[in-house]
Amino acid sequence: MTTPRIVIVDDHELFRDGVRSRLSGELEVVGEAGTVDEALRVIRLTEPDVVLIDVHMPGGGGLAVVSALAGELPKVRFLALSVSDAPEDVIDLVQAGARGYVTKTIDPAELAKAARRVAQGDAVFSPSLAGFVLDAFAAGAGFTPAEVDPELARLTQREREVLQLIARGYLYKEVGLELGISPKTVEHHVSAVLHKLQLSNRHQLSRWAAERQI
Amino acid sequence: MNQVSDRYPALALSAAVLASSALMALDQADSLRLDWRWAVAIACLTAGLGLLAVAPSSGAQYVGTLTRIAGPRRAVLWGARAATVLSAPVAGIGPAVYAGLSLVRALAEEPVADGQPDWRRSLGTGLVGLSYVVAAVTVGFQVGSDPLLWGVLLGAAGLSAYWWAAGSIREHRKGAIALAALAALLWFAVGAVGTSGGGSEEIIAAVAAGAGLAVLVLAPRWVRRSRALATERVELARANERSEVAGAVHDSVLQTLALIQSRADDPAEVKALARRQERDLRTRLFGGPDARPVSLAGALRSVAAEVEDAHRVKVDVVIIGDARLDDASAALVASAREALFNAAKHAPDSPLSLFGEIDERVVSVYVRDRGPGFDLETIPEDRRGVRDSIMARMVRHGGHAAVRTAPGGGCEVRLVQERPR
Repeated sequence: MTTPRIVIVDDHELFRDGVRSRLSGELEVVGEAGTVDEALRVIRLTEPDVVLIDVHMPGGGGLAVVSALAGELPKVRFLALSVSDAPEDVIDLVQAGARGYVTKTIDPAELAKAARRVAQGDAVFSPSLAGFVLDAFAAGAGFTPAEVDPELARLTQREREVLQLIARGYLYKEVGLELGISPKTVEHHVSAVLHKLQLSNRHQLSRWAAERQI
Repeated sequence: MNQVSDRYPALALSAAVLASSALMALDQADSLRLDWRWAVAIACLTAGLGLLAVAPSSGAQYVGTLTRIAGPRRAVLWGARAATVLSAPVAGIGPAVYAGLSLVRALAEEPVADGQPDWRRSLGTGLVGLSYVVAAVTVGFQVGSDPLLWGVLLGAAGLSAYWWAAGSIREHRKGAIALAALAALLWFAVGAVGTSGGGSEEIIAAVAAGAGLAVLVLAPRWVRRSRALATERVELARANERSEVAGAVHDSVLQTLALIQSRADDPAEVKALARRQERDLRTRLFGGPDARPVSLAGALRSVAAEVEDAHRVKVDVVIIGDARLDDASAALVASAREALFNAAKHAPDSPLSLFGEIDERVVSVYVRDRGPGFDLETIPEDRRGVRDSIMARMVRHGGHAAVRTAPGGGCEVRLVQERPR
């Protein structure tokens, strides 16, 4: 497999340096940006496979970048990074088109793995995001988003099981072993959940997340 | 820089005095058939424009109404100024529009918190406004005295003066004196019309116009002062918040950084300090309902924190839902604590996961480590931790516990408890 080309967007130079030096063997860092404008420029210029994007940045944050580019550059995939475990910070980014979310305390090897997964078009759920989605969909929370297809408003039994195992700290491989399915099928379920999440009513979901403070 | 620019106002004023003297002299000599008021108006206009021309460009707050509307288009600006002056004879349309726009602006726009008006700009604006008025008065004096016209003109004068007087809190006193002088001047002009006309109607109109002037001048001033007070309150609240944050940062972050520096040779200790600080900040920033001591989710989180501190490990906590902490769920929390401590002891270098799902019927808690694992069968009877503390306690409180482990495969303790109906 080719090495994914990545761009790191974070307003803390120290953090960018750290990520770059730790990922350099595994991924090709083709650009960096510290502001929203810079990010738009660098990403348009380099068209990387994956953008590691900080949720909290001055000038609109990661959301501004993802919303601006998600439609324009469909091949560029976004992985949101946040210092906070609070998914209400991240849910907007996921809904705007980010393929997943990890916390900044993530192990470098795991981060590289997550970036590769995103580069392949799969979704990356941290345990806390998995927990959030379970909670949101389980409670019903009143967001019946996809008028077209009521199936989209619910999680299937299998999807619930997958998310539960992720929340319990299982890696995808272990989830597959536990459920007797292939890792590829696990990826498939997680991507399906991401899709449902992206179709959900944004405002209801955000407000609900903020109220719950998961 | 200042010394040089301070000379310009004097020059402008001298030019104005010279111009008006020349006009008066020419008038006196019958070369021009001008009313003396025209000389005053032209002097005011010259001086005002001179002052505006030399005043340093100010914050948008103190830019005159016309300048604000015209923006950077100079032609529009001068066109608007000319139209204001030239339309004054027609029932005071120009000054009236100017007054209306000033009033709208004064009421609609937020003040710029940290702008100080340049006195040249304030005075210049005032003088230009006054020149409009005097010119209109002169024309009105010639054309006839319609009480409505007077009211309009006085309003225009008041609002022109507003930009002078209300520009700055510091210039409060100067502004008040200038306003009083302006009002007296206009009052005198109106009085002159009243006596020359001789009718009581004109006097009533003059009194009404004077009252209108007072309202028009004082209302924007009042608006501005109350806004300034509101701004002050906001600033005060901000300052309080800043000092609170600074205090919190000092108590927590700086202390931790100091500790980290002194323990730099002990990576485990440094990690633990950083982790504790992170948790502390997280609680401060995102702290939610979980902070309640009566919450089951909160209790689970706090035992995870306890383990993190005691064993220098990282615990990924995901809790879904919440419930009131009662005796039974307190036993569950104690079991979870025991499981976490065991995991930290036997798998010291691996991250731990704590997952809790609390719904209406049942509470499930999973504690997982990625340590070496072990064979359940080989645990001797006298190792009571797992059997007594966890399994037996769960059974006593209407639940059960299960351990899943294999050598090399980590360990997961599952605690399940039915919730009372």
